Amino acid sequence: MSATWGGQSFPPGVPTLNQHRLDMIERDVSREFLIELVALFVSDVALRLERLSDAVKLRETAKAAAFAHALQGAAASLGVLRLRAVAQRLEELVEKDDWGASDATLARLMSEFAHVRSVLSTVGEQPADAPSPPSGEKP
Amino acid sequence: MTQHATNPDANDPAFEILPNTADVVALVEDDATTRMLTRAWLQSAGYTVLEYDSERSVREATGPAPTVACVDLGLGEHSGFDVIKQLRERDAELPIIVVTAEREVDTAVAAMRAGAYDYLTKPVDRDRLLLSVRRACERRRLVDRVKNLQSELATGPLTGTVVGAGGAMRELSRQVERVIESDVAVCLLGESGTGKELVARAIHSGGPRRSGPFVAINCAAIPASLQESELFGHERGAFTGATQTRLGCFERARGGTLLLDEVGEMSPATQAVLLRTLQERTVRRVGGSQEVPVDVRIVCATHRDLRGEVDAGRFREDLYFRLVVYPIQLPPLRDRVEDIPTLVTHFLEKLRGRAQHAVRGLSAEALDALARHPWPGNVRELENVIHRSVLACRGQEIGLADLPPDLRSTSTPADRERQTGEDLLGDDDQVVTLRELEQRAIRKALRLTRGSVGRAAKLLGIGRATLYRRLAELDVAPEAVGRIVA
Repeated sequence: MSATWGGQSFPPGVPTLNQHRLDMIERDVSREFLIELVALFVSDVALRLERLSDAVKLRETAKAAAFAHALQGAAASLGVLRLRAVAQRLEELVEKDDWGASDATLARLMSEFAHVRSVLSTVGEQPADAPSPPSGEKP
Repeated sequence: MTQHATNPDANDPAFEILPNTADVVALVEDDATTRMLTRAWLQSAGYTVLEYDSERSVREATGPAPTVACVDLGLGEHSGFDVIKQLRERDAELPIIVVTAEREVDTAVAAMRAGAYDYLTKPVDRDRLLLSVRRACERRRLVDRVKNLQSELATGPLTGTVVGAGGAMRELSRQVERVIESDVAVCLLGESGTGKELVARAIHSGGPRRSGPFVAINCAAIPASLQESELFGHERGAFTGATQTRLGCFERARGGTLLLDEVGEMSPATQAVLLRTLQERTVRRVGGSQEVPVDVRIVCATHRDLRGEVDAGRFREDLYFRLVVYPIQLPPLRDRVEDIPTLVTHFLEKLRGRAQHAVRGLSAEALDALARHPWPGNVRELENVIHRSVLACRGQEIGLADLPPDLRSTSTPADRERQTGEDLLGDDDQVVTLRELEQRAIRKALRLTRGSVGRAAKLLGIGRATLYRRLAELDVAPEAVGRIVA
């Protein structure tokens, strides 16, 4: 299933991760901490997605909006940019009671999370001083 | 999760560079990832972190009181405002940093209006977070310090004696504290009207001699010929008019404190007797032969530069070293204008009991005029001004028009000085009586010398005793004139 944003691929121009933020966390605290943080994020988001999914299925506007909002906070903290953008879009759609588009965006959120999980599984594998992509962000 | 406190690793290099590891940050955040990251940043900067994941965990918290709180405004079902309210109820001075999503800036503004110290938007930047927390901790320490000082002052040796809580008065309070318990010879230095006698009384009533008497003698107000008799007493028949034996100040102050006010005005003969008395700890009444032991704490006071008087040969150096062991300088009112509003309130309250007035305060213009005045007569002059203004005031607020004319004027003290001199003879069509003229000249001399009779006498070209006589005849009090610009 795919979603669109003004006819463009969704969401337009937003990378998966802010690699710079992850590097900063590793530098400011430690690599071990970053690995722990990522593990916490993945398990926490997985749980929140389940609740969000239930709320959307049951068309519970307030709950669904609150879960989508909370997801954004977690994603923003770690620099998981695209997941955050999709969650934000979902919150907006839910608040408009646009359930058709909400279902599609929820599905996009799920697939984005699967992608994020895969990307984040490599965190901690490369040395701390390994060069980052020029943009500082992972595609 | 409910709550737990975590400490940074003391081996962490970041721990060593941090200023204050005693600071505790309450972190209220329902998102586990954000909370874990924020906690790590704060710990790496040396803070102890108390974590709370809900409004309930804050409500049920029993841990140590935080220095600062970081509160996420979007706390699930509960508003961060509820948490702010709870934290504030427990600690009204707690600086609270609110954290909110970018698009909820309006909420952050509302939080600031509700008294939040700062706000951060998500995703929180580490440096911004640590800067804000550091500043909040500094502010907290400052607030705590001010409160401690206020509390110190409220229970300090000058409580109920000297009014004012500014820096100068706090320093004075600290100095008095240092000497209060011992019998060290204290010399209070300060201009006329700065409260030297009040401080002397505070030293007496706060120390171990509080149950004994407090006796004050103003050496400037007693002619040289009577000083010895006043201080040391006299036997019956010691001199003409000594119809009975009379105890002097030393004997009356036995077991207590004797204030030798304006000690710089003491005659050389009396200085010699005083020195002997201090050395021997006994007094011999004028006309007597018996040595009477006295146990008295001596506090002296002067508006003069006593060291300068020694250098000029007018004050005995050996006596100077006996009397001035611990000098305490009292600040003039012009150096503590921040205390004027408190003093005004104090005097209005004091006058309420005597004058039954309805005055509640001063207008901003009147207060401004008081702040600009140089106050040569210090607090005593201010009390006099407030008394006169209360009598002139017909409403509940003393306005500029109710103040004495010299305070209403926008002219400088130098202008007023010139003007006063020109007015000495009155207007062209006015004849001033010789008595009035003499009174004005004496008043001016006293004002210029800030109430020093000796120096005023010199300016007037007469002897000190003559001036004392004229003051009595003309019903002029030197202390009062020295502080009022007539």
